[in-house]
Amino acid sequence: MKSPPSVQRLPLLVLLAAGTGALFLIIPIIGLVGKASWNSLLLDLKNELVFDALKISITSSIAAALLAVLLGTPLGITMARITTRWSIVLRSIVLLPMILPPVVGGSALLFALGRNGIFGKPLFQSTGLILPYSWAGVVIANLFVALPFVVLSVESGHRSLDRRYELASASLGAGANRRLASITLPLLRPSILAGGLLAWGRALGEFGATITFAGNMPGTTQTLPLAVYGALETDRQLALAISLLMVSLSLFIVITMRQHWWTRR
Amino acid sequence: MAASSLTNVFSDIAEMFEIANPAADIKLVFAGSGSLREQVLDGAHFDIIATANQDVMDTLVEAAEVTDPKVFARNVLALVSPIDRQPPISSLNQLRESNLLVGVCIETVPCGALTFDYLTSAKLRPNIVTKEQNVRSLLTKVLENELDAAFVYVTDARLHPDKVISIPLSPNYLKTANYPIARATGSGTNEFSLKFLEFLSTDNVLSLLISYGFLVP
Repeated sequence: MKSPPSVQRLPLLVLLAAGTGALFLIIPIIGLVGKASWNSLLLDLKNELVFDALKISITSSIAAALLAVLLGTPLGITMARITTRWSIVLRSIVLLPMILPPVVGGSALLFALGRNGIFGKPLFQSTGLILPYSWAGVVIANLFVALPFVVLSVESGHRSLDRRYELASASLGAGANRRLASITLPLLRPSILAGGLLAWGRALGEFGATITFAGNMPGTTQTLPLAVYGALETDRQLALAISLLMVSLSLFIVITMRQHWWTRR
Repeated sequence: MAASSLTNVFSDIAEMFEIANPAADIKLVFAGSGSLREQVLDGAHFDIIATANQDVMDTLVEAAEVTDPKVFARNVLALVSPIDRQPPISSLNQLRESNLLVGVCIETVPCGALTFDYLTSAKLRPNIVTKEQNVRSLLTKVLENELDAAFVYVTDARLHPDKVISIPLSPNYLKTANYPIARATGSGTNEFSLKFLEFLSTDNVLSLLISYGFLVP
């Protein structure tokens, strides 16, 4: 293995800019940690509102991440193999939710899947099902913003795959299903996992699409980010406490991801 | 700085004031009253602040951030429903139906506090599906027909006469929301602050407030 180039060889300017960048990212977190009153932290968090929001956040983000893997993996594989001009169309569709302001995404979901929406209306009239204001609505909002992460991760993973394994197994008589199950998917496992974790993290932090599409109901649709937003207007200490809880959850995801990358190397 | 329920009327008033005083240049900031309070306590610069709630203003007076608060307008709750809802909601009693989707503002903001106060005194327990952080996002969900009914301010209901109908509320239980306005304690430098406050009680402004559905003192 080649040893990586040394940091000391970098121009001073690059190092300075790198330091500034890292500082910029850590300063808000320092502010958060510095303003929190650590004595009452656990007491602040020990209330029903936080517990409910935590439960909804965890369950809905995991559900969204699993769905994202389930739908995003096939989409990513397909995108990696499409060579026609449709790939541009498909790529734009996938990238859009990443760039769109989440509030716009939430309104779009409401116009499409709301009780009076283009698809939501027939759904409501035939089954009585209403997606907004429900846990399912939170999952849908999460999925909308999280799905692209799996798709892009799987797609780039697939592009860097060594196609020879598949060609070899094909020449040995393996059908398309067999090749997918025993060659492609196992090779893509790291990309799928990384994409799934990113999707989970994105879903956990979702705010705009959720509050616009699913509303804000403590115990039903109020997730941790929504609870922070509410608490900011009333109880700063509570808002700080929930924010710190979110920082720890996000750190947990980041560390899980790092460990996964380390073991791969 | 002004409460978000003042968005439309204050934009008009600012424009009128600038026409009357060409040298004045008003910058408007709108947010929920609680959020305004936090901004001020965090050191945000302002000359004049109008909130939708007396408590918020009292806190700012105690913190010596503002001086001379005065109520310049009042507002009342309204129950609105999408105009094209079938069947239409015509009476308050229909709120007792459990399959109705009802939206409110959250208890911690002024319109929510008024709403829950009303619901308790009127002994109503509607099927509340969302507690929105501000009255504007609540109204949007009514306009999209995604809620069957919502408690907003009369002034919000007035903005969309072609899209929502108002259902009469029992006046016995209705309280009014007071809108106090005050000068920042340090704003002696801005010559227009006092002028603007005086401008608020001119006939033109009063009739504008009334046309938006506000009650004037």
